[in-house]
Amino acid sequence: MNIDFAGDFIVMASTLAQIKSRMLLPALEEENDDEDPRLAIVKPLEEYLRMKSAAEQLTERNLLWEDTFVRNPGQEDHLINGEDEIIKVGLFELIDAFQKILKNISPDSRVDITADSISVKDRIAQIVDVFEASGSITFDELFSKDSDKGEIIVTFLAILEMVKLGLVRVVQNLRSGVIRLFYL
Amino acid sequence: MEDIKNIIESFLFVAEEPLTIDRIKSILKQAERNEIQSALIELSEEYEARKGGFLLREVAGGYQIRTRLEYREWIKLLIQPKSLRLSKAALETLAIIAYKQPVIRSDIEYIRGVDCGGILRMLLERKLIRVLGRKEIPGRPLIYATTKQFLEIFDLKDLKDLPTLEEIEALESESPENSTRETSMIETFEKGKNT
Repeated sequence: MNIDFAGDFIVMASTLAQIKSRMLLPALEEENDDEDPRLAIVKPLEEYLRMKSAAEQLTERNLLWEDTFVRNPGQEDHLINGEDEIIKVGLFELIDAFQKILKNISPDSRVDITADSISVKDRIAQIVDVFEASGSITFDELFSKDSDKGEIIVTFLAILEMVKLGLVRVVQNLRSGVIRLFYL
Repeated sequence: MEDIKNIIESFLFVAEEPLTIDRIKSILKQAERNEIQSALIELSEEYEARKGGFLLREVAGGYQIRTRLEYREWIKLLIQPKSLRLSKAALETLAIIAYKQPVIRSDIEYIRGVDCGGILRMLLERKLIRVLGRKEIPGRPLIYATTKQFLEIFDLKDLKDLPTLEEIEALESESPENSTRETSMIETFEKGKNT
């Protein structure tokens, strides 16, 4: 059973019952400052009707990418690019992907305390080398299975830094969910 | 500057998003604001007189060259834009946010009478709405508002450019088929009571 749905139904039914019973009670003439109980339902409904017409008005506007177009080199976002539909990845998708990588490392290498074997700067240089060769790389390829937590974190920080510097573009395939980095 | 109009036109051609007067001013430091403004108006009038393929629109607080409505079907043969594809429910939610912003989820659901968590997420992903912050009431709900992208997509100069609800109501009552809507909801209730 859909609890939300059932709950909404019960709230509506009881509100209606309450309104009905309040209407049945004889009202004293002087006590007119009391709001009409029916308004509790009517108000949002009227508001809703207003918003419905407002929504219709919105669709009648000259919609961008529908009725009117702009010259925009970055417009690939608005275009269907064939089979490989990709979306720009936000911070949360990156963090999700990072968590998955962390889960994959062997548990015994998690507790080792070692000095940073590599700096973020050096890692960026390494990744740039890979990019120079291939142009693009998937998120998972950047993390080798046997690397320890420290290395993984350094790699992740390197990616964030590169995004910040505008060196790479991070996109995700809509269907496969694979995150791919492109060298700009 | 004599060629200010041409410089601004070249900016408009290259710019990726609506160009604000402030942005133009930050580059053309010696130009006055009203100089820029009148150059823009002049350009717009030139495009209007020429009746070519595009015109100058004031959107999202800036100026942008946009194609004329008449040629949309041709352009769609050239490029395949992703259509807006907003469902009725999504549009209504968007309208509520546009008119009531800053607004919290429970206010939207009060008007629509149904859950709209999924729709809000979708609108956020499409960057039509954004989170302004949290309201300092129990549960600290998120506050929603529309984005610049919303203005760009719906061809709006700014939020004040939205038709007022009174204007929409006037439009509605003009068309005869909708005149039945004028009967107040209370009357509908009265009718229901007698049956």
